[in-house]
Amino acid sequence: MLQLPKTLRNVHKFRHGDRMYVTDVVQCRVLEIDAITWDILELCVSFTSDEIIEKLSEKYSREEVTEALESLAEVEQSGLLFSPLDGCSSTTTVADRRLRILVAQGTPYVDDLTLVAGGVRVAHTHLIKSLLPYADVEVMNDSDKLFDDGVQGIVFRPEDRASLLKLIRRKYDGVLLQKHTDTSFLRLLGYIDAPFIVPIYSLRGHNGDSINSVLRWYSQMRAFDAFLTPTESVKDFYLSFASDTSAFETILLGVDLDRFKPMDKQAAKTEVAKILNKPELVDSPTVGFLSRFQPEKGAGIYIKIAELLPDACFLVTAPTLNFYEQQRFPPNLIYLSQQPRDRLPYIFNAFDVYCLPSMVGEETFGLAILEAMACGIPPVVPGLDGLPEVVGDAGVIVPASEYRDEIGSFAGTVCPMAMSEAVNRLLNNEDRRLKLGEKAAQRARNFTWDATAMNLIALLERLTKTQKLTTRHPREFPISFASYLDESQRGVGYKAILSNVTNLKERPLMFDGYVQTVEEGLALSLLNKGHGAHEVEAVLQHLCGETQAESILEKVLGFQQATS
Amino acid sequence: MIQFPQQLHTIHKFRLNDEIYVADLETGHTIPINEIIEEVLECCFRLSTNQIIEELAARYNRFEVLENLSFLSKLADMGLLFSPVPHQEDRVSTSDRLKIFVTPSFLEHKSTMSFSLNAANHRLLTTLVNHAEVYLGFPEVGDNQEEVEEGFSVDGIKPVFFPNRNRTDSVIKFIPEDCDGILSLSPISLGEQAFLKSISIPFFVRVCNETLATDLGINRVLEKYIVLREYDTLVCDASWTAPFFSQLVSDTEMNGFHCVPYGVDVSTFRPMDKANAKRQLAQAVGNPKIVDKLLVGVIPGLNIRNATALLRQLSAANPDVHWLVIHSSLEQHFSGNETVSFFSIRDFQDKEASPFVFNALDMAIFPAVLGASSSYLLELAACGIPLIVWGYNEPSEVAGACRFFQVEPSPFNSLRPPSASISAAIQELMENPGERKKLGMKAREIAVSYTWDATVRQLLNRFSNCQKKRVVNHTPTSPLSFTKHYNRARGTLEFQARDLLDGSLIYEIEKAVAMTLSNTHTHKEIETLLLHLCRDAERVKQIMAEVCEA
Repeated sequence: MLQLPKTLRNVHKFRHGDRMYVTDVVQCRVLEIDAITWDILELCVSFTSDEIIEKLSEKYSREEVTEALESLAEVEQSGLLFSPLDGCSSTTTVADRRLRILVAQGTPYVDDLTLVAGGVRVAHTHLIKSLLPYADVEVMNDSDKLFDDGVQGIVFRPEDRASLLKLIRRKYDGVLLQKHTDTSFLRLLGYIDAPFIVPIYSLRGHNGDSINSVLRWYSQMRAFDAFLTPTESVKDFYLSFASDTSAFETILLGVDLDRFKPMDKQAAKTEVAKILNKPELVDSPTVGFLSRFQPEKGAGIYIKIAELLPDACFLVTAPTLNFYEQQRFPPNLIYLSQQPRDRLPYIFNAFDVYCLPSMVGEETFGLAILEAMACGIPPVVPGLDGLPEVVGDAGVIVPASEYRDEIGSFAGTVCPMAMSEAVNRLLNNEDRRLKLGEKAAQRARNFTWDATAMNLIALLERLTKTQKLTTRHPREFPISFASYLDESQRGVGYKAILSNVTNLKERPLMFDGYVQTVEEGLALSLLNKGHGAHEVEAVLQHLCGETQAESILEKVLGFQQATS
Repeated sequence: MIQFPQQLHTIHKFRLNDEIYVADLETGHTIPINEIIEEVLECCFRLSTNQIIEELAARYNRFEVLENLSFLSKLADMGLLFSPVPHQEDRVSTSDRLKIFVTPSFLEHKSTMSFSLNAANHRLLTTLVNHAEVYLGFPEVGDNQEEVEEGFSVDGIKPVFFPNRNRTDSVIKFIPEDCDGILSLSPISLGEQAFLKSISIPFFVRVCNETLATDLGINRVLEKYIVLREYDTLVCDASWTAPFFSQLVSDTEMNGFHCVPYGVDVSTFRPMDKANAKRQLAQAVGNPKIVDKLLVGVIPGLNIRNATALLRQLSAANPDVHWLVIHSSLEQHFSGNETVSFFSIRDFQDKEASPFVFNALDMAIFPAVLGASSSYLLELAACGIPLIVWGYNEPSEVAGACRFFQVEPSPFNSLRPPSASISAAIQELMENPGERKKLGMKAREIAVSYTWDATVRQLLNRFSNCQKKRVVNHTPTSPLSFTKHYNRARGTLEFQARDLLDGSLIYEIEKAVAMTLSNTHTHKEIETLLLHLCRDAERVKQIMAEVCEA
């Protein structure tokens, strides 16, 4: 039953002709109602449900009123009326209030990280939480619920115009994507006039899906949107496909230093040995792996390393063993099933060396490596992608061969022998291992989520400035294409003519038209049509190659900027 | 930008917590709005986007107005508030007379056009006002206003003065919206093709053959031809203009070109007593010998070097005739031959004299090529002068009533006039006065049908036909995005365009460009663009067929 009385701050009811309607202006939806509901809404500000039933009993039967109250309760349940969201006054300017950031994601928000696995979701949730001191964060969710951590859930259904309107009217200062592969949110670019920040957490691999999603976002991005790249290597990689450097900003991810910190190793080992019921673990040197146990993460290589070093204990912490389950493991390889996140510090601390022989080219950052480092565990990783940038000199980077041109599949290989030698050297040299571990913990202290959040806010500020300078209403120059007699070539040539008459039908500024090359005319026509600079870049690159495309684009954009 | 006027859904407007909202009752959505949008909604069903901008810009910041209109565009894209209505298709003209707007460009180019052409245009307009409502744009440029009015006074024309201070206002703003057609009398004017991008009124450009003597003139016609919509026309004043262009453009039907010849005043230009006319001419040019021999009129229509060469060849081959070169600048370049005289039409008096001068001719040579003034052909024919015509094709104006010699039209090689054939024809006609008379009578007979009324009627018929063909493209093309793409099968990066609404629809860039431009650019423009980009006529043809089908 409906909880009454209620204040109806955002509710407006009205008659049109002989019909009655009610709308919750925050939810942007109009509902047609009957006379009983109208009367209930009149009364519900000051009376309880029972009082209303009583008061209306002269006009309607009790059953009718009860039924109407129940259906109102259903409407409330669906979130269409009595919205818990704050309305936002359009008169307040950005300066008067805290930043309001929308987080676009396809799955409901989970405020409790305990059971979350997978680097992307961990990074994403940490990022949201670390933004809260600086901004109001609204996250797409299955209800308009306010979470305990202060995150405001907001319902968004892609095909529902009302929920789109709701987003438009909330006037966000920025939109943060969960991951760039969520291309279904591309269409929001056309409706929300705030900078979009699109993190790239996967690089190559995924059969090319990753790069194709990046390229689709890139082509649609406005001058005031940007990718968040967690390491420079990601930025560098994509800049060989996209020429606009300002569309990529490297912001390092962080680690929760309160949770991930060096502990008493022996105690940690005992703890883990207890979980696994393997007392021998307490006294043996331990190597750890914490990731999905899959070929591209180097599972096969890890097994080989374990075979090469039979005296050490090799732990695998992964959700499942996948098809490796059928395989016979060397006896020193021990599987530890997925653990809740609050156990991870113990598990990391039980390792003597952290080893991730990934070779897929999707390690844009390596969050688990940073967490291991924060616990003072020296990592051994191949020199691929973003890993060297995170590890720096606080670990062992094993040279690997990287296939720069490989996009869809394995992007590099690392020799199992070299990896095992590096691991072995660390296991046998306690002094070096401890020093490196200390260095790792030291280095990890530079990576805080607060710094990540502040860098993100700074990026948002830069993009907002860019947005102010962005020509949002460019003059629409009528462009025509024409052939002409080219005497010197003794043939027919083609040209574009820019008639300097705007859509306001002004008289030409200087001459009645500028003759341009067809490519320039095409570029301007496409810009006129609302296509972004990056799209025009793609068209020009296709038609006349990269170098020429760049110079034409520069010229045309300059022209547009100067005349707007 | 959203195109108004548009029909509004049933709406309900209300205020709540100091904010304004509008509820779209047809779709069931509530939309937060502000004062500007509130005002737009008041008038958007009757005013055009530009009118709305102008009206609101007086009270609000123009930038803000544009911002709010782009918000409304988004709503319209989402299907909220507006339903697209068929454009002013069902508009009925209040009067049966068509409303024709004449652009002021020919006034601006008056000094560069020949006196005959200006006179012909003047005559065309004086006849036009008898059959249609004619509006003429006059730039209000301070001191030249008087001159403009005086220099081009035609009774019955409705002047539309437009401010042109600092050259920021264009006449296009002042074209009455209910016009049935726009007529530009100056083919060499620049910039007018921009009109085609912002107004959906049939646009006719008069192509005067005599202005096409140079590449500049030809290129201006090409520029205009390509941007013509199906309901626009290049109205040629000579029947041989279009055949020349047919080798430069891909449309072999030449639908964009339509020939409407000038009229000729057959009571002024009429056969007269030849001996008398010759005596007067001899006196006027100070060459008494003219009366002794046959007199052949020559309309050059070629560049000076070639015209001089032709004249030398003809005079050498036909020593027994006198020549009268009509309206050319050859006079300064051709001397020392007393059999050649010159007559130019520079002012009103020359024009008055021309029927008498033409009547002194025993025959005339006319070039049906670009650059020749078509009015001379009709005037000579009306005077009953036997004609020897050479050119791309036998002009329909004198079909069957002349001796004709064909030359291939060639845009890049200079024309070679068939001087031997012309000389032979001169000889034949010299010896055969009966044939001369017959040919002259026949020409006169045809010329009689070329009245100014007929010219104007043809023009107005074409306007009403085009008015029917006029379509306003309201279905927006589905938005495409251009992007690089990794082809996982080939392992290479490729370019493609993807439908934003249906991501599974993928197109090649060239086709997608053509689709994207198709509602603002004509098919001819897109074809031109593709020819440049693909350099493969077959492929262009295929893409065009696919785009037109869609």
